[in-house]
Amino acid sequence: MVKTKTLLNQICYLVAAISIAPVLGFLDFAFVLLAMGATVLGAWFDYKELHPIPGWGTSLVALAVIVNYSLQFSQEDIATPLVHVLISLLGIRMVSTKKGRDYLQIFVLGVFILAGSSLLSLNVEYIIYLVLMVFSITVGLVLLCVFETDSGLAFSSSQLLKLLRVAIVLPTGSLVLMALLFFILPRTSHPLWNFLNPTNKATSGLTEAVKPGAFAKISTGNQLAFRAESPELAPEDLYWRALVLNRPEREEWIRVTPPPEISHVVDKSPSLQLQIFPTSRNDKYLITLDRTTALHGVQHKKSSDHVYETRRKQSQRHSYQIDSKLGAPLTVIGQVDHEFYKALPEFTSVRVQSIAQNISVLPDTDTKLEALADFFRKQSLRYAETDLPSGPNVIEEFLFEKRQGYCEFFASAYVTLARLAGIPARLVGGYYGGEYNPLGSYYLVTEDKAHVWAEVLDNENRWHRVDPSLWATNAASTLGASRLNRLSMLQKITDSLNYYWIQAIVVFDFSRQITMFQESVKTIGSLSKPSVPTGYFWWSLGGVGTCLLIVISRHQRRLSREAKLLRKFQKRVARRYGSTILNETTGLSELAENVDSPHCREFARIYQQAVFTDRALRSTEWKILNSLLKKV
Amino acid sequence: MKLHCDNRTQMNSDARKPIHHVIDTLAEHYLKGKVKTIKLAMTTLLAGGHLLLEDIPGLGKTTLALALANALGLSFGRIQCTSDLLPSDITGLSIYDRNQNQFNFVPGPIFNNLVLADEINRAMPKTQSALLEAMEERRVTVEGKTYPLPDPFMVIATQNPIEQVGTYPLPESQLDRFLITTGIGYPPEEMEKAIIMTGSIRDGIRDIGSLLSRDQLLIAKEALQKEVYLSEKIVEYIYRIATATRNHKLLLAGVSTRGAISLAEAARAKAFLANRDHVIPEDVKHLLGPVCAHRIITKPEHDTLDRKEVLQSLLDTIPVTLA
Repeated sequence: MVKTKTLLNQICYLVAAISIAPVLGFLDFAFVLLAMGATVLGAWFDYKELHPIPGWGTSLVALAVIVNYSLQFSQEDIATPLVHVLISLLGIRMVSTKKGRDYLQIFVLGVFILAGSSLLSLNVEYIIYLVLMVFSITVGLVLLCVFETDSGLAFSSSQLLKLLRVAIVLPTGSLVLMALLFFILPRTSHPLWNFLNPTNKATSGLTEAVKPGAFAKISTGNQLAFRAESPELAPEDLYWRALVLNRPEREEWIRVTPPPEISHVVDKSPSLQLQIFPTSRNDKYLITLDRTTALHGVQHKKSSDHVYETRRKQSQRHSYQIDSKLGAPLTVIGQVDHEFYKALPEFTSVRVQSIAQNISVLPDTDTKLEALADFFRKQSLRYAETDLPSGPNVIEEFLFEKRQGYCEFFASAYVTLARLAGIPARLVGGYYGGEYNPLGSYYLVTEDKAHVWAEVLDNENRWHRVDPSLWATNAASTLGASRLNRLSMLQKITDSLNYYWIQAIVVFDFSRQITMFQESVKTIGSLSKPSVPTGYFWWSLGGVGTCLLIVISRHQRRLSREAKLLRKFQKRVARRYGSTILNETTGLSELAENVDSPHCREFARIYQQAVFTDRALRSTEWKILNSLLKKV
Repeated sequence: MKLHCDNRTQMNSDARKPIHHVIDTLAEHYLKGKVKTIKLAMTTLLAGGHLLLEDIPGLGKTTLALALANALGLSFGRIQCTSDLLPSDITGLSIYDRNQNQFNFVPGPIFNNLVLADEINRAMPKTQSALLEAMEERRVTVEGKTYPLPDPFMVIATQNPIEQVGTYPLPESQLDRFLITTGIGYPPEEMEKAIIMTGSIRDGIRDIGSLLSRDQLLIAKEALQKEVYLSEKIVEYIYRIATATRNHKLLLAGVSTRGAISLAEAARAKAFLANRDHVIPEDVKHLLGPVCAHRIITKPEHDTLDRKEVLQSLLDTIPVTLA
């Protein structure tokens, strides 16, 4: 026969061992030795059924340990002191006498230490410890239930086997479920919960092909495209670059692999760091701020024309950082494939060709570009999203007939004319503008901010950004205004909450959390300082404290000696039998009968003898009652 | 004060011994399973009140009354109430003695220490009020002459609460004269089987010798008056209960001052029976139903409510003063 207590004790030693083992290499050897010593000593005490350490002693030591290690907490190292505190508490629990509640505490401490160890190191052994821990604690909890019902119960070996078999079913099942829910499903390409959502349709305002003249390629929805954490920037710098469209094919512009060339951003100004939080997207292009010099935080491929692509599907769970130099040209070292960037659409109208002819005779690229810009301005084109040019000769219709269109018309007309005039040019797709949310200090860019502009190569082999849409007569009112409209306060707040949720939960990064915490502490500090002088605060706190003390002591003094004794008795009964047993409508004898305790009965008898004959307790009665109180 | 208290704690247990003896003997040998009712009856007797046994026929109301009368060694009179029972059948009447040429008073059954008024609700109101007046005044006036009733004097009345035909239900004001009202209830299963096996115990009851003399009873009553202390805290508790019944939303009339006095008296008797020299709140709680249920009147719309239950629920709202 094996007693429940013996089994529980053994499980406690196991839990202690499992929790201490993973942190062995990270703590002082002497400390670990001490903790293990405490466990062994506790086991010896349990074996001999000794209880040499009083409860208040252990509480005092625990308090000292917590104070000692809490002084060592620092921003650089939270985990080590935390684990030290937890292990010390575990050691103290192991040495002291173990009752129902203590076992539970040991289990909880064990789990916490194991969790804490994951802050120190997280290697594959951790999973073994975790599985062992889950098994031993579940069995321990089952045994604890038995122990609480009847502490003297003992099992024969066959009974024990049966119990263990049942007890092991629970953790096995939960481990399998855990593995399924937390490890396997989130890593599949179709997350479990996705069946609730309709599949992500390509509603992106950013298209991978520019086809002026075809409707419905412009998205007017204001779905979120991405958020970019950044300081507030000038509106003319907000060109979010995604991809370069370099080849005309039939009536549209598409992207093909650009010719190999070595290019980089030559600019001495300090670069700007931004953090981009994309939404789930179907395309593979990473959004950057024109011009980006470097991108970190996500695996990617960088093309020669500085388009960043990722192999992974983009989702909310990843964010990345970019370094940008605003508006700097892209310098190509060596030769540029002029043929590639001068390739023309299959069909260009005579009228367009003649305009280009006039420009191409000019001596250098700068004058050509100037003339091209002049031409665009003279045409008095309007930026519009309705009544758009269409048909086979879209560019001519746009430039000379309708004279209105959206960015794709402007950009493709510009690039076509530039190429006809002998200037290498390409289309760039991305976003322009965005709403700045000062609450979270980030830009919110929606799909309706999708935009197309152009890049042209100058004589010094530098790619410059040119946005022909800005030459529209109504650019300031339509393009500029719609791109930079301000959010309402409520929108700002709700979006900030959403943003913090993504930052804190979805894209979790521990060091980032610490920075966020420190920043908020700073903000709160800077807010409260001018309004409330520190001296005032401490004085009023002291005043309130003193008032409270006076009220409490008055109340205490007003209570008679008997009332205080009664209160003590009720507290003890509540602790022993649960607070539900106490009721102000229940008399003492009734209470004693309810809990069926001879000590309570005797207490009630002696106490009532005095109180209900309206006299004070005698010193002998006082002593007896106090001794009874301890036995309750 | 302290000296006084010290004396009081030296309990005169001799006074209680015979009372406990009566309770134990009756409960163990004659009226099995009725210890609660017996205790209530003894409480009534010690407190100097009257007892109303309310239950359906055949549960041993009369047997209990008879057993008590025999065991207590007191003079016993029985009145079987019917609709033609006259007040003089209870109080007695003067009869002309031809030899002495004068009227001689022949006392009725009420001139006994213990009077059993069986099926009291069958007597007509005139007779009922004669009996109830005697109970309250403890004296009888016949033909202008007043005769005191003996001491101790206790009426045990029985009535069947269900039977309605040919009955004159006691009005609330008269119910108030009874200290305690209680039912008997069916005996526990084993006990009832044993009773079925051996048959009625009426005959056995006749053999109960006198277990308690009148003097012993008077000593006990005196001890109760002298020794059992009623604390101000208990008075406060009783007062709170009484006020609560008066303000209760289900009740038309709550416990009267007389009801509160009776509750205190009964609680003291209970404390005496429990070998205590002081009343504790549990005494009051325990007796609230038997002492007060027949003194309260529920509102007409709540007529079907069990009044004992109403009082019991009330107790759960009144805090006990413990210090």
